[in-house]
Amino acid sequence: MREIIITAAQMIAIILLSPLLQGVIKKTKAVMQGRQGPATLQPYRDLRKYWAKSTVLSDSSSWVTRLGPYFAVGMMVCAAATLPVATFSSDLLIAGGSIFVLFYLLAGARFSLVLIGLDSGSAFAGMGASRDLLFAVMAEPSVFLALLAVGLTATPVSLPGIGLPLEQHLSLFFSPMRVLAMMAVFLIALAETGRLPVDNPDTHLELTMIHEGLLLELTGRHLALVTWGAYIRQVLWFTILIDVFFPWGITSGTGVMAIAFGFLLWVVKCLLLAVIVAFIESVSAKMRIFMVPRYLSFALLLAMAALLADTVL
Amino acid sequence: MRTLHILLSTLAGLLSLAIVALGWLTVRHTFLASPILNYEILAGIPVHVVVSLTPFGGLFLCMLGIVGVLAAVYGIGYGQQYESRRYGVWLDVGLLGFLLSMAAVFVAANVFTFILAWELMSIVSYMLVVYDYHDRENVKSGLIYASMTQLGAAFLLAAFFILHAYTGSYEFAVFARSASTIPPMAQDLAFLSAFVGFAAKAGVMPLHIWLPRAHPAAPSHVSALMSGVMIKTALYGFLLVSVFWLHAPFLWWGVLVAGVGAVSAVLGALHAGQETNLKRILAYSSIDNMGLLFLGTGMTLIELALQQPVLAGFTLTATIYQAFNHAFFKSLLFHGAGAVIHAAHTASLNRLGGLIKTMPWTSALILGGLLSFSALPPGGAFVSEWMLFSAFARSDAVQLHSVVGAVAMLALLAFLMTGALTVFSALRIFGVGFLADARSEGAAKAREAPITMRISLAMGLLVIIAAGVWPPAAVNFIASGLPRSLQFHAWRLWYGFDPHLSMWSIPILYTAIAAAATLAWLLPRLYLGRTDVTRVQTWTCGGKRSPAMSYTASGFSQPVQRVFHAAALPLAIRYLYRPLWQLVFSTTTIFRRVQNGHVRAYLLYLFMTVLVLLVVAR
Repeated sequence: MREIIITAAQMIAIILLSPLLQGVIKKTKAVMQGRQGPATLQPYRDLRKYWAKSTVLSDSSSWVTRLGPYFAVGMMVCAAATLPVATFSSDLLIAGGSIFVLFYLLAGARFSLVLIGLDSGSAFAGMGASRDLLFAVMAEPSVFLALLAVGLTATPVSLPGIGLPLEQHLSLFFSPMRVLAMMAVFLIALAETGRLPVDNPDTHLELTMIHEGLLLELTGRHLALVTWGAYIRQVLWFTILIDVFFPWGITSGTGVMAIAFGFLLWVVKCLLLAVIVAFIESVSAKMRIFMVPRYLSFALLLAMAALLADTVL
Repeated sequence: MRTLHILLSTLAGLLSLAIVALGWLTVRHTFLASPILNYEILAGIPVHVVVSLTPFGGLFLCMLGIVGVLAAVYGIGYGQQYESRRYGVWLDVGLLGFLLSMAAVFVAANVFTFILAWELMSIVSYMLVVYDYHDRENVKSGLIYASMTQLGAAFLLAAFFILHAYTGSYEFAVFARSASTIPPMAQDLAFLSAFVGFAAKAGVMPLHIWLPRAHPAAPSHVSALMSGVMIKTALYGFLLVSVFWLHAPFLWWGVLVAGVGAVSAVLGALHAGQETNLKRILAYSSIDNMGLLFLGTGMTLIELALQQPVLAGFTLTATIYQAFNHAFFKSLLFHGAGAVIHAAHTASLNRLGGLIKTMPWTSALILGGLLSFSALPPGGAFVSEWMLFSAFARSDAVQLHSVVGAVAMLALLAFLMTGALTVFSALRIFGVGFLADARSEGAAKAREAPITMRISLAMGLLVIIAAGVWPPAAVNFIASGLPRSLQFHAWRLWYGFDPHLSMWSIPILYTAIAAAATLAWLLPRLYLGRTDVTRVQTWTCGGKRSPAMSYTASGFSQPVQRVFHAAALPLAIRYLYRPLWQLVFSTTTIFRRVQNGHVRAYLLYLFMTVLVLLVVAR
């Protein structure tokens, strides 16, 4: 019973905290730009507003638009349940925290989103989908390889298996493969969460948006779910970074105090990462769309170098 | 005639059921393993038909039978479009022959029987490919298919003769006992010949050129059988030679096979994402899946050469599991494609669209197949790709400090790349071809497929889901068809190397996804009530919308094409096929001087032949 509560708590923490991080990023950016910006809790209010609105559907759309958001969120939430937040105990995670399951669930969520976008027949959605998938084709192998580079010696290749040794031995942090892999995963996390320099999350200019383009035809509850899903995905990527590269404070047992402490540290680390991301966004410009593959292949190169460092050293 | 057509299709279905039952019994009960038929055709000549049921062949019999049932049910409805040709009665006869000849390949127990069945399978499938012979393009495709498959068969014969020369027998049982003791040089030669021969049948690059031509040309349930099962006969044969007989003694064998497989997987997936003809996309995706299977085989060979039977067994099981899943989802997709082409009178994604409204059932079932195609839950391919991933990662970890580790790393890279590209093509097929609005009159007027075709699709989807929902059963079944040294033990279940997984992991995962999705729907509905739904036109910046505004398949893949254009070079055509053609043409021009068409010249040839014979034979 206690195990189930901890599992649910880890999952719900990710779900509930995700809009806050979005608010923190927006606030930080506003401050850096010398604006006052929206309140930190604004994303929660936005979501509440979307929930209450009635639904407007495109007359070209089908049941895919009506079911898709639920499956996207279902997959996203299950992906959240594969991630250690406060404890590395694998038995508490879905599929033992396997990275294969994690990324294929994320791919499943992307599958639903792209179908929802194309269902309306909107040209902007087609554009967004085609670009989003181009990036996915390059990002997915890179992040797998980067995580394998730091997790190969761990059996099984799962997030607890990767993070736990580092939590116990600080010196591992300075190994070349971990540094290289961290850079690779960070670059991809920026791309996958739709951040600058890959995608501009604040834009509503039709020709430049990628993730936004897919959601253009959504309203009401569908929009609320999908937006929340995007926030969750952001926290998922932050948590992946934390689990794999900054795991200190995550307990390996199930003691109540240790887990509470783990949750606290996780929140602090997420907030720090949010500020860093906001800082990077403030100082970088958006890339031309066909420059992004170079950016992503650089990440792939780093990941392969990390794996090679594994082999050679 | 219609009755005959239905009767023949039913017969094919019953035959397939019998094949499944036979395969099941063979895998589960080894008492059938001894030769069950040994028939001497001519006394004194070493040409026997020997048939025996092996557990390994039994696995493939099961695969054949299941896909066969689906194809037979589908064929009942598919025959309607051949009303003017006696409801395709000859097509049904061909289908029966095709099923029988493939089954014969899996039970053949000596060289003569194997080659006989193999050639029968090739000939029957050639005739089925050119069944729509009114289209000149189909005839050409058939010709290319026939020549490639004969080329492969020549290499197979060479491999078998090398084995015969050193073991002195044509029996597979003797090969299994003593093929691994013949000189290394002969083993290499036999392996290479077998590899080329089977690769040509499997459609592995660069011997793939027949596949994207022949599969679209054939009637759809024949394509399903060809893509689902026939190209797996090559996997079966290749595993028989390299793993069961020769026991993979050298490391480079595996490296070669894995390399070829990896290239084939990535390039096949890339091409699948560029084609616009629905059946050609599926054909290219078969090339990429065969690439994956050969990649898995290559890794198995490497692990065998490095004396790691545990890992080899796991990889081999994952590979065969993937072969099963590919057979299931690819047959569903080919059936679905046939239904779509039949209804919309076009195979081009650019001219389809909106089918989810005109053909709701077919579209939904195809979506289910595409989920498995992309290795997403709840299809079986999700589990088998997971296993392949664990196998490759484990192999990389074990060989970390040697060159082989790098091979495993590249295998992983190719595997992951293929996975991502496959998701791309799946979304392209469904997003462009089935969603939004119809782009042509044919697609707008499309009607739901005949009921038997839909039943076949639904059965296919059930099989796909059943294959993955309870992996322990599937994996144990497959493992029991492997050599004893590679079989699984209770403590090495489908999850391989992860002690935190259990037999319940997959059901728990699927339940969790379903529960989360249901909660996301139910909670707002309970607390906030229903919402009103208004329908408006899709946003087009204020203009009037036309279906042409949606992205086409070509536009959709343009960014990927632009980024990966370097990988799509026609290397095989330029450096392999064209020089070969040149060689064939230049030699034939020489021989054409002999064949000048004058009666006098031929009389002269006759006269000289007689003279030479008189001198020589006297």
